[in-house]
Amino acid sequence: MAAGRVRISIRDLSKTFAEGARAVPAVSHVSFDVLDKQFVAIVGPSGCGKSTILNMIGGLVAPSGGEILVDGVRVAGAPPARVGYVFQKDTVFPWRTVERNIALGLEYRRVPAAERAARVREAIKLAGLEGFEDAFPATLSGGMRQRVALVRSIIVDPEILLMDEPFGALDTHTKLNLHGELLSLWEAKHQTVVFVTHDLSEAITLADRVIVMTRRPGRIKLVYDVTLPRPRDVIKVRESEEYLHEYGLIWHTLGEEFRSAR
Amino acid sequence: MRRAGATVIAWRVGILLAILAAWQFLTGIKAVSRTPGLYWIDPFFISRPSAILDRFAYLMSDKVRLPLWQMALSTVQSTIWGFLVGISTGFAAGLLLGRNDRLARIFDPFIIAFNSLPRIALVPLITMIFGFGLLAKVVLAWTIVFFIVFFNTFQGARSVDADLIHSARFLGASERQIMSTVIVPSALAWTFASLTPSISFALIGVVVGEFIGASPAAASAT
Repeated sequence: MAAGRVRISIRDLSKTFAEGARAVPAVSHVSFDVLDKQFVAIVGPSGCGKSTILNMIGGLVAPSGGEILVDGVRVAGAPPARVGYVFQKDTVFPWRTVERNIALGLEYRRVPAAERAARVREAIKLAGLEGFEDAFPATLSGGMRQRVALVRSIIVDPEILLMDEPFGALDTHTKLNLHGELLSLWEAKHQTVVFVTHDLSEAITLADRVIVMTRRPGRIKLVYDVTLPRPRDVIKVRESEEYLHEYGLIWHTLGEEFRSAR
Repeated sequence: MRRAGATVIAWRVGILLAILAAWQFLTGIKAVSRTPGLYWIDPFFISRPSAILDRFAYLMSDKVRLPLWQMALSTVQSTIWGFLVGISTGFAAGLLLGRNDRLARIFDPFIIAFNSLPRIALVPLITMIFGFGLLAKVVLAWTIVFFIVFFNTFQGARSVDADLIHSARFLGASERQIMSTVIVPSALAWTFASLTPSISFALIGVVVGEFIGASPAAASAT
């Protein structure tokens, strides 16, 4: 990966939650940088604080120690500008149709109706949701709903995309399809992505850099640069020698954490 | 509510007819007693379907000063007003307090206290202030409907999924846009659930008002 400028800078970040009288450390002294147009995946066993890190970058949770800079500006209490967020949980508005869900960000920005309609149409085509424009989310599958959530975030052209296990609740087949779609969307715009997951194969398939976390309290165990060539074919890449080699390397490290976590 | 099938409707009609027939028949049986004119079930207290029909026809005719349908119209009118005013104020208050913790904490004891008041105790006061007309009945209906809608909307506004609000914020929504595109639609689902009981309670409020004083009153046509 060519060295670009630093978009997200995380310095000595810690988070401790209060659980009654007890203080539960979730994240402990984590530092890393995310470069422009870089796709970074954070992998770790559940409860290692990886989602907490993402929430802190998004300004949803305040750090207990350390700081986060997005484009050199300290994140404090509100979402930084030009940042999109895709949640693991279904956050498609159930009372809006697919089309009107995707249009949300443009409505908020008061984009004129004609331009809005054109951009929504394009996004729907891109996401392969043609024919479902007027469908309500309740009638869609989990994979389609997550696809709506994804294009809804991307339509407002965020430069930084934070993704919190967005495909975590989906079956393997749907997940693989969405990996392919995410990669082609990403290759078109090259957003800076921070992608949280507990699925190592997902991390290697998608990312330029994989950050492996320890179990709670989360610290960085390993930073690994994935050298698989792009553009990647999500199915073929999994059969390649390099993939297996990298998977083995990281798994060896991550496996220790998963084993001790259980 | 689900639509009823033909079988269900047939059963309902059958049961209704059976009840009416039993009522008519049972109140016609003379008690086996030496006292003349004594019934086994006395129609003096619970009437009979045929007597009710006669009386109904009489009240609907122009032999009375104010026909029944006009009184009923007045009741329905008061009910609708009480319902509408109750919903709109209850919804607004529920939304306001549901999204403002400080206000909710301040007003909580007042709301609980006022809601525990038996409304019937308020009738003399309401009559004194608002007179005997439509307004008094609407106010009484309002005091009931307001709280039903308020509590539902309040709960709805509190239980809006935080991640939906976060998503909207990441998509660039202002606080006002979050209110109109996330909080109001989520809370509305709860408010709608309170509408069916609201219309019944609006009617109860109006009829109670009419019983005790306000006129013209369908309740007085007994």
